[in-house]
Amino acid sequence: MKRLATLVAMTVTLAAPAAALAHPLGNFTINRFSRIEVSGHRLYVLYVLDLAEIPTFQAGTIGPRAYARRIASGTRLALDGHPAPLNAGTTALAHPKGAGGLHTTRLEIVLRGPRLSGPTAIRYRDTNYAGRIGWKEIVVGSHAKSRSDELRAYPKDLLRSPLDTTSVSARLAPGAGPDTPPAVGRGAALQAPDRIADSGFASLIARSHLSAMVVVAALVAALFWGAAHALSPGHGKTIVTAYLVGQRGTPRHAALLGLIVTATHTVSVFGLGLVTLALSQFVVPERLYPWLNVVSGLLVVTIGGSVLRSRWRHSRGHEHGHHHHEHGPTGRSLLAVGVSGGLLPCPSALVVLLAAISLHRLAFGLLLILAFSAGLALAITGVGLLAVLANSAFRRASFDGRLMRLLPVASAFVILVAGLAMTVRALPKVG
Amino acid sequence: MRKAAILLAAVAGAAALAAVLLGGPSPQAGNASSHREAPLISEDPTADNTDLYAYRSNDAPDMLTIISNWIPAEDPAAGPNYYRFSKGARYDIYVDRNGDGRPDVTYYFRFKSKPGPLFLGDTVQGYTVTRIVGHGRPQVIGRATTPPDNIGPRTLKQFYGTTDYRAIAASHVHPLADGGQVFAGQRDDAFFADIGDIFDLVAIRKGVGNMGGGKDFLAGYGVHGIALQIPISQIDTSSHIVGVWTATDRRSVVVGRKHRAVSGWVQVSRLGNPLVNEVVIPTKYKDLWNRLKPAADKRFLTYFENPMLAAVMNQLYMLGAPEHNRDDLVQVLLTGVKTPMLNYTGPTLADELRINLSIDPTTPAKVSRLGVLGGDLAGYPNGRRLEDDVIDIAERAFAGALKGNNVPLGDGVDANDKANLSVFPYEADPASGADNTKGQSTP
Amino acid sequence: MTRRRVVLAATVAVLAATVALLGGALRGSSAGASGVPSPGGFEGPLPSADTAGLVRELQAKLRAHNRDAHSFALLGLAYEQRARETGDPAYYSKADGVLERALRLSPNDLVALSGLGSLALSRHRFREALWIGERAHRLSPTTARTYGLVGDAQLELGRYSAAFRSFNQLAALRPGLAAYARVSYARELLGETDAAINAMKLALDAAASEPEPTAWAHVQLGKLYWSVGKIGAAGTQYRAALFAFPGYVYAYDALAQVAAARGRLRAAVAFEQRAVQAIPLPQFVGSLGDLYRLSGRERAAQREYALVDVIHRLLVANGVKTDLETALFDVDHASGLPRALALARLAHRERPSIDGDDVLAWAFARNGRCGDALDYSQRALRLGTHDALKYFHRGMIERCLGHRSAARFWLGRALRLNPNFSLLWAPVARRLVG
Repeated sequence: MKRLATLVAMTVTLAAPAAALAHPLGNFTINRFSRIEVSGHRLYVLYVLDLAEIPTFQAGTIGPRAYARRIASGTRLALDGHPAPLNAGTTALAHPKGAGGLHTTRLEIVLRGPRLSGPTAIRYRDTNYAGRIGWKEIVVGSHAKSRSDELRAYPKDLLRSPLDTTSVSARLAPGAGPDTPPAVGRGAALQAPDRIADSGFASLIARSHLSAMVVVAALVAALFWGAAHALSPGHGKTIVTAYLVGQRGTPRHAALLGLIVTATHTVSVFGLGLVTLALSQFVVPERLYPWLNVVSGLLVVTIGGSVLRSRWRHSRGHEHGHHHHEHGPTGRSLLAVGVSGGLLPCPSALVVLLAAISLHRLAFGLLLILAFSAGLALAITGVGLLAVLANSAFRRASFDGRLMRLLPVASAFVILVAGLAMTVRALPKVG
Repeated sequence: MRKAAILLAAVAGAAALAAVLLGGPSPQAGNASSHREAPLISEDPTADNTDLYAYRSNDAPDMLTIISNWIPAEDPAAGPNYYRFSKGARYDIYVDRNGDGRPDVTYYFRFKSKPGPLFLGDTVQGYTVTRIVGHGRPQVIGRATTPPDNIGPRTLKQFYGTTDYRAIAASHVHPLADGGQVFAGQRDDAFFADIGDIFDLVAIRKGVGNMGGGKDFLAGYGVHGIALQIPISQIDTSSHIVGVWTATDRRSVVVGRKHRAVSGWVQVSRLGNPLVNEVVIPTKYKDLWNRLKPAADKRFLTYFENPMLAAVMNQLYMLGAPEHNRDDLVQVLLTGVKTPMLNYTGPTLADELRINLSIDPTTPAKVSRLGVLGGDLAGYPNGRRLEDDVIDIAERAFAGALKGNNVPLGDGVDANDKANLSVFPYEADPASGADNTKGQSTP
Repeated sequence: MTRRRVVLAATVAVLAATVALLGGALRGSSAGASGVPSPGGFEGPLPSADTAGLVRELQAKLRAHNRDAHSFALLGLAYEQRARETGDPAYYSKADGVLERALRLSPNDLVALSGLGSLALSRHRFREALWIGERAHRLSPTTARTYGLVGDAQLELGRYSAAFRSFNQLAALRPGLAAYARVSYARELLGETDAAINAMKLALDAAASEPEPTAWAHVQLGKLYWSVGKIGAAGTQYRAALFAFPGYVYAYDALAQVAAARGRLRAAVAFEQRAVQAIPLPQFVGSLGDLYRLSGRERAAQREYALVDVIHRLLVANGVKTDLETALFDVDHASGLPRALALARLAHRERPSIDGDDVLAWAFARNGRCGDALDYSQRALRLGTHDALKYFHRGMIERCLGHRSAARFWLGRALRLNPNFSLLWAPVARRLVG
């Protein structure tokens, strides 16, 4: 009964949505972006409107065409001093999840401008939503870099105020080729970018008074958070499970794995923290993450590959009638799996470390991270244990056949695939 | 072992559930404020002493000219809010005749606001000059008005019938009872400094700074100044040396006493020698220093003897500035220079601008902006004239010029962007709000 | 077995080493041992007519030299001022970030600490603000502004004697805008309205043409006049606020009340809409809803009330301590009264001031628990504050308890003090008094 309840609980948690964060620039901002580009001979403006939670709520139902027309009429374009019209074209609308169970709005509009006959001096002004606070950005050129990645990721640079560009002048010339309008986003590209989840953990570090009670309570909470975090997608649960099952790990192995994960995770958080601090002049943490994902994925692929190879060779070696002996996980492979499970530091833990540094609460921060890592490890171990127990229960009643022999290979295969999936998923986000 | 495993799994599961239910969000600022949110950190520009000058002018050598400025970096085009003297403040100029760090002659200035056309009438203010000699009774020695701020030629034309601000300002010079004259109102800021660089860790733009190339950050900005000219005969002493300082007071208020709207005066700012507050007194004591009278300066002696600025200069540029036992700076700033005898007033340590009234003013052709360091005994630290380059002098002094360590430091700005007047009140007319050219963008 | 032990030992060793290394390295850096010592006392004037300009200059300066603790601290204060001017919460986060950097570079920087303290106040973290203020005070007992910080926190935590002492100390050390404004508020709390007006006039004079502080002082002065029914004088102050700082939302919101009091509902709605469009604070949105309701536009009213709920959820999601106004809103508009009572209790725990007492009293009353309500209402009025809304609540509580003459007394008192004390409830009071 207890096991059932636990299983139910765990399923429920896995199904729960990740904690959504508030719109980075404030819940009532109306953020505007224009990209002016020339395609072929025609001038286009790709306009992106990002409404935070409150304006989204106030707007009610949004008719993209009506909005597009209104926004088009709120722009002012002049070519060589003469006003030129911009007409609304294709639109794309999405309502990414925001804070408090509310939604934000992302509306992309292609505005069609006139054709250019030659090099032209253009002047563009955006008068939409004048007076509303928000990020206002204009870039010229189809490949010009947007500091906010077209309103997907607002920079957190402390030494810059939110952009407030509402007009721009430039000289543009027509190019070659057909007049293809810029594409609006679709699908996932219209949703909110990666946001650091589990921010609840980060709030622990900022508590003001640190009485013993608060410290203990915070550590316990950190433990729970780590556990909860482990149950969100990732963290190599699949890999750990597959490994323990395939290698016929014992509960003791599971516990040891847990310890290694804790240690690795803590160390990787510290490492990343150091790197982040040192590189914070050059590299934004958000850019670092995709690379970490890639590295982690590759590591898992390697492990899977080597396990697969040894298992394959071993099972080959069984052809000449070897009896079944428990191989069990070797220390080295256990270490490798544990490391891969803990390698990717959770963003929350990193935030905690950096916050601890900035608040001069380093000891407390380290303790919290340790607790978090321990909770993480506990949960992963727990999952792994379940797998081990299920496995042994299964085996007790089962036949000793091909299935059993193939299980280690299969599990290695699973690891390999999981690793590949991680890497492949991480690659697009890099760079 | 099985039981332990199950337990472990159960704990993990329960922990996960609990974590989800606890769901603490990240700290982020909200913006709803129902409590007052009164400003806490705004400075008090109209009570902020910026500069003090004391000297004998060439056109009136029998008078002591004292000029005190307030309101730093006053934007001439500050419409619709124009700067003026605060009517709740008391503006003070003190003269110490016996070197005890306490005032012997006091001049108080109180300003009223005149109602008038909204943006012009505000800046014309009536004021009274009250003098207290020794322990005598306060005596009003002058009632006058300030000219309007220099908003722009059309406004002046509209209300004064002329665009000649010089004439308007000149008509607001007032004689004082028993001798002397007074002026109060908006002026061009006579201070000149490459502030960006100085406070940027004492950066120096070109070479060691004595080759020009600095940007006058205060070019185009104004101040509100009070210029006072009093006959030397009224304040002279046997040594012919007097000390001068300036201060601002505001009324205190108290919660809980029903019948008194305001309480006594509290000094909120003071100034004797230039740059002492900015460069010598540590941040945590600034409020305290501003409240005290010069007689209390003994408690800050260590900061004069061991100036932070010398240490910083050595760290940055290895100038060999002596960092301790700076009795030279103590003399210049706290007692007057004794060896060689220049303006020593006695052993009492007090930050005052000390002027030796027996030294004649230098003719304009022979004036050195480096004052005494440049061989011009009528310049700073013997009093302070408008043209004395106190930044350069201070940098050299802190680097040890008076101890034989002569480093020709400077900020590269050697004079005000505007020529001073040759007549009272000597500070140039303020820039017109209509042509707003604040801060030199090119050296 | 041995191999496992080795693995374990190695892991522990690595962990320990990392901790030691990190601990040492980070301790070193916070002392600012590397590079130039920050010349903490060098406070020169930065010529800049407006906050935005000052922000730009400081940002440029810091991008060139990023170890200047003092400039970071100043930038933090400037960001806070921008937040006041624009209502944009992004500035609060930025202020937090640069102030923390300043403290890292110079752990005892008074300016940075003061900045963090006022930030905590803005986020309604009053206990934290108190702690920061006390820390700043220990660092420099002679610096005046720490008394303001501590006093503000004490006030919102209901410790009035201590708060008044702090304000008196602030005013004794450095009279100026900060001190005058706080003493004015204290006098208002004690029911000394004329004295409060005098102090606020001093504050206005000391605000000295700085646009936002001047506008702020005008609005506060106007509200003092309003609180004793002087509508005309209040309106004059609000318009002066707009003259000093065009677009000042608090002035628009206040002018909406004035217009409504004069029966000009359409103008009132227009003013309130301007306020809401710029910064949708819950109190503005709620007032707009009330104005719609009074104008007979019930659907529009409901839309605004729904928006208040949305903002409330967002505030909670943003970790802001449950705001007193929102609890009051729920109680006033009877949207889930039992839950509103729970909310009021939470709010009261965080802010046990007389406002907290009053809102809780009203919440109890609307839930029919008038005995409890009376206790809190008495506490809310214990300072002698002349507050018509609190009188009204008390009157309704007395009525609920069957004390007819007491009810008439308090309701009448509310109307005599300020006939327009509330869009929703003044008509109710008028009806009950007859």
